[in-house]
Amino acid sequence: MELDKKQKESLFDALLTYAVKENAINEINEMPTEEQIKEDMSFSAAFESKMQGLIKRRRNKRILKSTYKYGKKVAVFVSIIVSLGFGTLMTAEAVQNAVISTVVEWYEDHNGFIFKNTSSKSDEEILNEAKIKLPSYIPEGFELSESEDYDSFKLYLYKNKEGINLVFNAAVVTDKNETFIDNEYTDYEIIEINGNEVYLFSGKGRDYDYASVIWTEGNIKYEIDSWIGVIEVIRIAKSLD
Amino acid sequence: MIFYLSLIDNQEDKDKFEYIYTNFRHTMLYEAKYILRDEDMAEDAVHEAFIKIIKNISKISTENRNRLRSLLVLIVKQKSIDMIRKNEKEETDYVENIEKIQDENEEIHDEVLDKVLSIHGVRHMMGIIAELEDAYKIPLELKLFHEYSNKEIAEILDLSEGHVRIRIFRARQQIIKKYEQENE
Repeated sequence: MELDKKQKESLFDALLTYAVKENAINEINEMPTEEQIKEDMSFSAAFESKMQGLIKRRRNKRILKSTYKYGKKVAVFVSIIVSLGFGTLMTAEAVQNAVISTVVEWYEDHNGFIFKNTSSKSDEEILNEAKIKLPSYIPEGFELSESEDYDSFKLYLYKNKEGINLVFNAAVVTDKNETFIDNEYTDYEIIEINGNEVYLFSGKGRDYDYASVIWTEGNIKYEIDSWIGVIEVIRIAKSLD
Repeated sequence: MIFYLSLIDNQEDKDKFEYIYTNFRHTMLYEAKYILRDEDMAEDAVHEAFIKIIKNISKISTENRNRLRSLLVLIVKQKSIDMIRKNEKEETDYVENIEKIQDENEEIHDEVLDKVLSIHGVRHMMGIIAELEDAYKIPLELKLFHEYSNKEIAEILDLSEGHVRIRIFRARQQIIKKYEQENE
């Protein structure tokens, strides 16, 4: 039976579709598995920091009651630059150690923190010198549930039996790092912890037990968030060594 | 970044994104490194790919792990290629030829069809597809394997719909030509 042009095309296209699918599956099966790849390569701290903003926001999203609408956000916008020598709050040692400039952007429903390393050192030097401090105090009942643990980036998620999350995150800032904190249901103040200027966001209303602290020390940015109240979060922050 | 986050507006999509990030980011880095041969650029390509994924998260299915992995590889591959081509001008003849392709499907000769229908026809065609340039292969796979529309492919690849149409057309054309050359 002689096929016309249209029939030939249909037949060819059906086989082409099948061959493309088979080829795609073959190619993906020929790649090493994700687990095998993980053993050989890892992401840099800069990448993890950049991405952790996304993850952290989703993990802690319970505090957000509505979806962001970008257009509305820019209603209130203030930038404060906290740079070297800002600090009546800071000790002389902390001033000397401050190498990260912090730009805080206030929007209607969130704060953006942009940390930029101002030192003239190379990424390698910064990474070699920086040593992330870890909390020596974790409230009773919390156990480590998930973690990303690298020399220059640490993200620990603790959980208790009630399902409350406690997130500790620290990252060496070699270049730039951005973090966003919801402020729609929080009050904001600057406090001092261990000689560092610390941004404290404490929940209000139904989220009264939420607290988040964020600060820099040397080349490192730290964040702690949980629904365990301000006092406990500050206690954890103070325990870093 | 915050702008793209704002596009994830339901819990299901957020969970989907987290699943993709947790389970496939190393595969994406592997592919980007393979193309770019540079760690920093590879990470940038993966980051760009994640932004693209966020924008298209509602169109991405996580039901089939292999299929999802294939899609993520295609997205990061395209981002890596984009980085290489960043300063190169897109081939101008794409635009010039967009209108021409409407009724110009290559005539499929009997010899070609016989070969495709032969006992090893599909396997042979898979070999030809594997050898296609990524510029053609990626849209072709997105269309025929992942079953996206030209409009959706255009959004994923940052191309116009016209470019997508012409790339898929060219992919098909190249496959047919390859068969014809073998018969010569």
